[in-house]
Amino acid sequence: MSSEIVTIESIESVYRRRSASLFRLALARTSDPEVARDAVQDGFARAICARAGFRGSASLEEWICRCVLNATGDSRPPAGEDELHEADDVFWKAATPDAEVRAAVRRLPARQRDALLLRFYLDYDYLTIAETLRIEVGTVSATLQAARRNLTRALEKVAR
Amino acid sequence: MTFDDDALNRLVPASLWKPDWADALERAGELDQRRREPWARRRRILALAVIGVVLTALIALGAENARWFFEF
Repeated sequence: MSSEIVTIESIESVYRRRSASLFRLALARTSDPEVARDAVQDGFARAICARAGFRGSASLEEWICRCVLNATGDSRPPAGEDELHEADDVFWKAATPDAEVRAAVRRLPARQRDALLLRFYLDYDYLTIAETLRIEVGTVSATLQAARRNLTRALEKVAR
Repeated sequence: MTFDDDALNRLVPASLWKPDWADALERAGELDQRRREPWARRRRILALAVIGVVLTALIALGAENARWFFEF
Protein backbone atom coordinates (compact mmCIF):
# COMPACT_ATOMS: atom_id res chain seq x y z
CA MET A 1 0.00 0.00 0.00
CA SER A 2 1.36 3.45 -0.79
CA SER A 3 2.02 6.08 1.85
CA GLU A 4 -0.39 8.99 2.17
CA ILE A 5 -0.15 12.46 3.61
CA VAL A 6 -1.66 12.66 7.07
CA THR A 7 -2.87 16.08 8.12
CA ILE A 8 -3.61 17.25 11.64
CA GLU A 9 -7.21 17.68 10.50
CA SER A 10 -7.50 14.00 9.58
CA ILE A 11 -6.11 13.03 13.01
CA GLU A 12 -8.58 15.44 14.61
CA SER A 13 -11.38 13.73 12.71
CA VAL A 14 -10.36 10.37 14.23
CA TYR A 15 -10.19 12.07 17.63
CA ARG A 16 -13.73 13.41 17.30
CA ARG A 17 -15.11 10.04 16.23
CA ARG A 18 -13.10 7.58 18.30
CA SER A 19 -11.47 9.17 21.34
CA ALA A 20 -14.32 8.08 23.65
CA SER A 21 -13.94 4.46 22.53
CA LEU A 22 -10.16 4.66 22.82
CA PHE A 23 -10.58 6.07 26.31
CA ARG A 24 -12.72 3.07 27.29
CA LEU A 25 -10.06 0.77 25.86
CA ALA A 26 -7.32 2.57 27.80
CA LEU A 27 -9.43 2.61 30.96
CA ALA A 28 -10.07 -1.13 30.73
CA ARG A 29 -6.33 -1.63 30.37
CA THR A 30 -5.20 0.70 33.14
CA SER A 31 -8.19 0.88 35.52
CA ASP A 32 -7.27 4.49 36.25
CA PRO A 33 -9.29 7.26 34.54
CA GLU A 34 -6.47 9.81 34.79
CA VAL A 35 -3.86 7.42 33.42
CA ALA A 36 -6.28 6.38 30.67
CA ARG A 37 -6.97 10.00 29.76
CA ASP A 38 -3.24 10.74 29.62
CA ALA A 39 -2.70 7.70 27.42
CA VAL A 40 -5.34 8.81 24.91
CA GLN A 41 -4.08 12.40 24.83
CA ASP A 42 -0.44 11.30 24.58
CA GLY A 43 -1.32 8.71 21.94
CA PHE A 44 -2.89 11.36 19.74
CA ALA A 45 -0.02 13.76 20.47
CA ARG A 46 2.44 11.09 19.31
CA ALA A 47 0.38 10.51 16.21
CA ILE A 48 0.49 14.25 15.44
CA CYS A 49 4.26 14.39 15.95
CA ALA A 50 4.93 11.21 13.95
CA ARG A 51 2.38 11.78 11.19
CA ALA A 52 5.07 12.26 8.56
CA GLY A 53 6.19 8.69 9.23
CA PHE A 54 2.78 7.15 8.63
CA ARG A 55 3.26 4.63 5.83
CA GLY A 56 -0.32 3.63 5.17
CA SER A 57 0.25 -0.06 5.84
CA ALA A 58 -2.79 0.11 8.13
CA SER A 59 -5.62 2.64 8.27
CA LEU A 60 -4.98 5.92 10.05
CA GLU A 61 -7.36 4.92 12.84
CA GLU A 62 -5.56 1.62 13.43
CA TRP A 63 -2.23 3.42 13.48
CA ILE A 64 -3.52 5.94 16.02
CA CYS A 65 -5.00 3.09 18.04
CA ARG A 66 -1.53 1.54 18.20
CA CYS A 67 -0.14 4.89 19.37
CA VAL A 68 -2.73 4.94 22.17
CA LEU A 69 -2.02 1.31 23.10
CA ASN A 70 1.69 2.10 23.28
CA ALA A 71 1.00 5.20 25.34
CA THR A 72 -1.19 3.11 27.66
CA GLY A 73 1.73 0.77 28.24
CA ASP A 74 4.06 3.68 28.92
CA SER A 75 1.58 5.39 31.24
CA ARG A 76 1.46 2.50 33.68
CA PRO A 77 3.24 3.31 36.89
CA PRO A 78 6.19 1.01 37.55
CA ALA A 79 4.38 -0.98 40.21
CA GLY A 80 3.38 -4.61 40.56
CA GLU A 81 -0.08 -5.72 39.43
CA ASP A 82 -1.24 -6.20 43.01
CA GLU A 83 -0.25 -2.69 43.98
CA LEU A 84 -2.16 -1.39 40.97
CA HIS A 85 -5.26 -3.31 41.91
CA GLU A 86 -5.13 -1.93 45.43
CA ALA A 87 -4.82 1.60 44.07
CA ASP A 88 -7.63 0.99 41.58
CA ASP A 89 -10.02 -0.19 44.23
CA VAL A 90 -10.28 3.28 45.72
CA PHE A 91 -11.89 4.54 42.54
CA TRP A 92 -13.59 1.46 41.25
CA LYS A 93 -15.25 0.02 44.30
CA ALA A 94 -17.47 3.05 44.43
CA ALA A 95 -17.85 3.46 40.68
CA THR A 96 -18.80 -0.01 39.39
CA PRO A 97 -20.08 -3.26 40.79
CA ASP A 98 -17.90 -5.29 38.42
CA ALA A 99 -14.59 -5.41 40.23
CA GLU A 100 -14.22 -9.16 39.58
CA VAL A 101 -14.68 -8.72 35.84
CA ARG A 102 -12.15 -5.91 35.81
CA ALA A 103 -9.60 -7.92 37.75
CA ALA A 104 -10.18 -10.95 35.49
CA VAL A 105 -9.70 -8.81 32.37
CA ARG A 106 -6.48 -7.40 33.74
CA ARG A 107 -5.15 -10.87 34.48
CA LEU A 108 -5.64 -12.03 30.88
CA PRO A 109 -2.51 -12.47 28.74
CA ALA A 110 -1.80 -9.16 26.98
CA ARG A 111 -2.71 -10.33 23.47
CA GLN A 112 -6.01 -11.89 24.57
CA ARG A 113 -6.92 -8.83 26.60
CA ASP A 114 -6.11 -6.38 23.80
CA ALA A 115 -7.96 -8.42 21.16
CA LEU A 116 -11.01 -8.62 23.42
CA LEU A 117 -10.98 -4.90 24.22
CA LEU A 118 -10.53 -3.91 20.57
CA ARG A 119 -13.46 -6.11 19.66
CA PHE A 120 -15.70 -4.69 22.39
CA TYR A 121 -14.86 -1.04 22.65
CA LEU A 122 -13.86 -0.26 19.06
CA ASP A 123 -16.03 -2.88 17.37
CA TYR A 124 -13.10 -3.96 15.18
CA ASP A 125 -13.44 -6.93 12.86
CA TYR A 126 -10.89 -9.75 12.89
CA LEU A 127 -8.77 -8.25 10.11
CA THR A 128 -8.56 -4.86 11.83
CA ILE A 129 -7.70 -6.47 15.17
CA ALA A 130 -4.96 -8.47 13.44
CA GLU A 131 -3.54 -5.35 11.78
CA THR A 132 -3.70 -3.29 14.96
CA LEU A 133 -2.00 -5.93 17.09
CA ARG A 134 0.25 -7.06 14.23
CA ILE A 135 -0.79 -10.68 14.52
CA GLU A 136 -2.02 -13.20 11.97
CA VAL A 137 -5.69 -12.77 11.15
CA GLY A 138 -6.18 -16.51 11.47
CA THR A 139 -5.24 -16.40 15.15
CA VAL A 140 -7.70 -13.64 16.13
CA SER A 141 -10.73 -15.89 16.45
CA ALA A 142 -8.85 -18.40 18.59
CA THR A 143 -7.39 -15.57 20.71
CA LEU A 144 -10.85 -14.12 21.36
CA GLN A 145 -12.27 -17.52 22.23
CA ALA A 146 -9.40 -18.16 24.62
CA ALA A 147 -9.98 -14.75 26.23
CA ARG A 148 -13.68 -15.48 26.77
CA ARG A 149 -12.91 -18.97 28.09
CA ASN A 150 -10.31 -17.62 30.52
CA LEU A 151 -12.64 -14.87 31.70
CA THR A 152 -15.50 -17.28 32.27
CA ARG A 153 -13.18 -19.63 34.16
CA ALA A 154 -11.79 -16.80 36.29
CA LEU A 155 -15.27 -15.54 37.15
CA GLU A 156 -16.52 -19.02 37.99
CA LYS A 157 -13.63 -19.35 40.42
CA VAL A 158 -14.65 -16.07 42.06
CA ALA A 159 -18.28 -17.18 42.30
CA ARG A 160 -17.31 -20.39 44.15
CA MET B 1 -20.72 -15.21 38.17
CA THR B 2 -20.43 -15.64 34.38
CA PHE B 3 -18.86 -13.46 31.74
CA ASP B 4 -21.12 -11.69 29.25
CA ASP B 5 -20.81 -8.73 26.89
CA ASP B 6 -22.71 -6.42 29.21
CA ALA B 7 -20.09 -6.93 31.88
CA LEU B 8 -17.48 -5.25 29.68
CA ASN B 9 -19.88 -2.51 28.74
CA ARG B 10 -20.57 -1.69 32.36
CA LEU B 11 -16.92 -1.93 33.22
CA VAL B 12 -15.76 1.37 31.73
CA PRO B 13 -18.39 4.08 31.48
CA ALA B 14 -17.79 6.38 28.51
CA SER B 15 -19.27 9.23 30.54
CA LEU B 16 -15.90 9.68 32.25
CA TRP B 17 -14.39 10.90 28.99
CA LYS B 18 -14.11 14.62 28.32
CA PRO B 19 -12.58 15.27 24.89
CA ASP B 20 -9.98 18.03 24.70
CA TRP B 21 -8.35 18.35 21.28
CA ALA B 22 -6.49 21.52 22.26
CA ASP B 23 -4.74 19.55 25.01
CA ALA B 24 -3.65 16.87 22.52
CA LEU B 25 -2.29 19.60 20.23
CA GLU B 26 -0.48 21.21 23.14
CA ARG B 27 1.12 17.91 24.14
CA ALA B 28 2.32 17.54 20.56
CA GLY B 29 3.79 21.07 20.68
CA GLU B 30 1.47 22.18 17.87
CA LEU B 31 -0.47 24.74 19.86
CA ASP B 32 2.65 26.79 20.65
CA GLN B 33 3.59 26.68 16.99
CA ARG B 34 0.11 27.80 15.96
CA ARG B 35 0.21 30.59 18.52
CA ARG B 36 3.58 31.72 17.21
CA GLU B 37 2.59 31.59 13.56
CA PRO B 38 0.42 34.76 13.40
CA TRP B 39 3.17 36.74 15.16
CA ALA B 40 5.81 35.43 12.80
CA ARG B 41 3.61 36.39 9.84
CA ARG B 42 2.98 39.85 11.29
CA ARG B 43 6.71 40.34 11.87
CA ARG B 44 7.45 39.40 8.27
CA ILE B 45 4.82 41.82 6.96
CA LEU B 46 6.13 44.59 9.22
CA ALA B 47 9.71 43.98 8.07
CA LEU B 48 8.62 44.13 4.41
CA ALA B 49 6.69 47.33 5.06
CA VAL B 50 9.70 48.94 6.72
CA ILE B 51 11.98 47.92 3.84
CA GLY B 52 9.41 49.30 1.38
CA VAL B 53 9.23 52.63 3.18
CA VAL B 54 13.01 52.95 3.42
CA LEU B 55 13.49 52.10 -0.27
CA THR B 56 10.79 54.55 -1.36
CA ALA B 57 12.35 57.28 0.75
CA LEU B 58 15.82 56.57 -0.66
CA ILE B 59 14.56 56.57 -4.25
CA ALA B 60 12.65 59.83 -3.68
CA LEU B 61 15.70 61.41 -2.06
CA GLY B 62 17.98 60.21 -4.84
CA ALA B 63 15.66 61.52 -7.54
CA GLU B 64 15.32 64.92 -5.90
CA ASN B 65 19.07 65.38 -5.49
CA ALA B 66 19.78 64.04 -9.00
CA ARG B 67 22.14 61.33 -7.79
CA TRP B 68 24.34 59.56 -10.31
CA PHE B 69 22.31 56.34 -10.22
CA PHE B 70 19.32 58.20 -11.63
CA GLU B 71 21.26 59.65 -14.56
CA PHE B 72 20.62 57.33 -17.50
